[in-house]
Amino acid sequence: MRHEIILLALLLFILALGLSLHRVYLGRIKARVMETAGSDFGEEDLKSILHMPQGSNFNTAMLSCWSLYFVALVFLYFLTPQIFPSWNYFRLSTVASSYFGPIILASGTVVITGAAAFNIPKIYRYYEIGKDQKEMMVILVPVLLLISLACSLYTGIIYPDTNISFWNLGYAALFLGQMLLLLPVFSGFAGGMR
Amino acid sequence: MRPCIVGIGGAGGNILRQFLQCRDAELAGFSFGEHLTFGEVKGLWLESAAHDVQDQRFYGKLTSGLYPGYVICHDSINADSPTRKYVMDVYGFDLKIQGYDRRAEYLKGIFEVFDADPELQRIAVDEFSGEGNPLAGFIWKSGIRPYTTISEYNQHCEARPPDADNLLGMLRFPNSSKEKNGKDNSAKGCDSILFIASLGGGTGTGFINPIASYVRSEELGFPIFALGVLTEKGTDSRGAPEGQRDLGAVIAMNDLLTLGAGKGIDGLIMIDNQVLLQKYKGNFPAMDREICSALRPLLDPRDYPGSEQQKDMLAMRRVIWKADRTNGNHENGKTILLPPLLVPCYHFRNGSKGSIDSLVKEALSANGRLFPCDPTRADRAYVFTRGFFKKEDIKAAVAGALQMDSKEAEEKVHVYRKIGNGSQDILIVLRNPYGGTSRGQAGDDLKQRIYDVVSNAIGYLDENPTNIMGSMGYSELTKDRLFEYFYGSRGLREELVRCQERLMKGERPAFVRSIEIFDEVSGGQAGKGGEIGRMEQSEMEKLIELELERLLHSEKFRKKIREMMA
Repeated sequence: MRHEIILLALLLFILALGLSLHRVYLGRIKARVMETAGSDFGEEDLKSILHMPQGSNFNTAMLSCWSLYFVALVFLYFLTPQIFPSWNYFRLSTVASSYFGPIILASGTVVITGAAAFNIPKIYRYYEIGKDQKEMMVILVPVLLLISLACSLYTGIIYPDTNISFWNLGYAALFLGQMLLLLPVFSGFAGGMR
Repeated sequence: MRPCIVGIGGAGGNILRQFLQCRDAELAGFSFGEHLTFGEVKGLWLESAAHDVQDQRFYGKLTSGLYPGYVICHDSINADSPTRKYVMDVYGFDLKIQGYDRRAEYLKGIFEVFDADPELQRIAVDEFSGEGNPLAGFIWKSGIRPYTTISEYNQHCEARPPDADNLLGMLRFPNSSKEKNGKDNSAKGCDSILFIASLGGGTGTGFINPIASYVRSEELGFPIFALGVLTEKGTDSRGAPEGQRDLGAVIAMNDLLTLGAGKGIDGLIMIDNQVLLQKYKGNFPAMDREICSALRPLLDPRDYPGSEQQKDMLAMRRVIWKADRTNGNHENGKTILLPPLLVPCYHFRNGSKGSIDSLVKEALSANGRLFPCDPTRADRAYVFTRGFFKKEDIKAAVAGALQMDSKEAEEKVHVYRKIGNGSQDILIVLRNPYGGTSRGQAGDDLKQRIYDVVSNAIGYLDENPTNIMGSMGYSELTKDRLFEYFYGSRGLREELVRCQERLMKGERPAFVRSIEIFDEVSGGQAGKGGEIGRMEQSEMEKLIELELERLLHSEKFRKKIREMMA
């Protein structure tokens, strides 16, 4: 198996892990509240109580970042035929030959992954995220994802030539971006372990 | 609790800044939504002079549409205002910055004359479109009220979801929710008011009671609290002597704690700056952060399931006023409820697995108390926790620490639980923990701390009559009234001596009698053909007694007597 596919599996695994840890975190809070509440309550009531506003700036930035994340992921893996020969951008000859091809691809990705990009950031409302951490995420995540996008575009431009360094750089930036996007979940889960 | 926090003066503004720190990511001055704060509190800074607001960038001018904002109290008064001229001519007070004196009695007098002088009220009503007290009225109507649930606009907007958590905020035009006045009226209204000021400083000390009383006169049932930071010992950084600051502090404390239910605040939270100074070695920003952190369990909006009703501020207000045999002041056979003195005790720890007993113990220890006191002297305790604790465990822990039996605890320990998120903290607010060890022992009790402050105030009064009376162009009328206020037989000095006696005897409360500089009958136009309303016989006798005493102290009268005798 190509190492890129193993790396993709790693990305998806970490994404799934983050979402699972979020469910475990909520489950743990629910268990502790049930133990101490002294009265019955519904899960939706608890979720509503746990909501913590994070700010429109942060919410807007995260919604954008998750959209950008999926675009970067698609560009890294599906721009050229090198990783998935049957599923890639160049198979859409009309789009690929257009001046606006990459934009159309990006827009299409945003539309298709829109539901995920809209719903995933909702998990942040259950975590206490410090202002410094928010500002770090808002600044670094787009930068990393844009680096990944730039590297992917470069590999697309030089195709059929390849440059594994640029691809690896693109992957590393995407991986770091994903880790930062999931940082509140990891730190919230770790905090609850103490 | 979601208060509108009003920071008054320098200290009030600095502490308020901690509460209003924006918790959203800041995008180089651009914003998609409201200014997000912890607990979604709102706030504004009140100052008395424009130059005090210049050396900072956090607050903008509220009336220019900036938030967080400041209000200069006398901005509504023009330089050539007839009201200003009248007050200057009759009382020697200047309502504008020129000649502005921020001593507590000066600011107290400025507000009182508007209530006491019918002629001044008439002029003010004519000039300010029906507002008889333009300073307080401006602050309330333009500054504070729009942020509260009382404001009609906020009532109208209550059903709209808050911008802060709205993921669709990006689909709106940026700042579309802000009106030209800068107030984000799409957000929820505040359910209470919390005034924050230093006691013993300048603006805050002088303004806090007049403004709180005015707001109460407008809104009888709205929860209003004050947080006073008692000035530290020794000479402060501005060179103001301890006696002068302590005098300001006791004037403010007496005013705040002696207005009965429905006339003033609902409770005075006291913090001792001396305690914070020792803890943080003079690091004032750290001291301000400590005060803000201590109130977080109160402000955290995440109630335990099933406890959502605990955020009902009107209910909390009733609980705080609940009378015991000891917190009603008996006067002429009548019990008068006075606002309680509330001492906060706070402790925070990381991790979510510690026991409630140790958390309570740390909070009530000398390190956790924000004002010296003996916790076992409190007549009630209000406990706010963040963490996963059972209500009965919290009650038992607090009852044990305060040496209450379970029956007492059931009535006197009130628990408000909030959900934690990986850490634990507790705020225990002790009501009226008057008393302590006898005088002379190392100060760890409220009685001695307040006794010392009162003693210093009396000493300053005795040694500085010229400084108090002779300053800043007071009129003869004002000087006479001030003399009565400070040195008369029913004046402040006399009352402070009685306060010391009450403290020594362990009586509570220590401050029981409200004293005004310009009361309704003898203020303003008295002696100039002003109206005197109908009074009962006893009040008339008191007045005659006061007037005789005033005359006997007056140099002019004595000279006349000497002439007659000659």
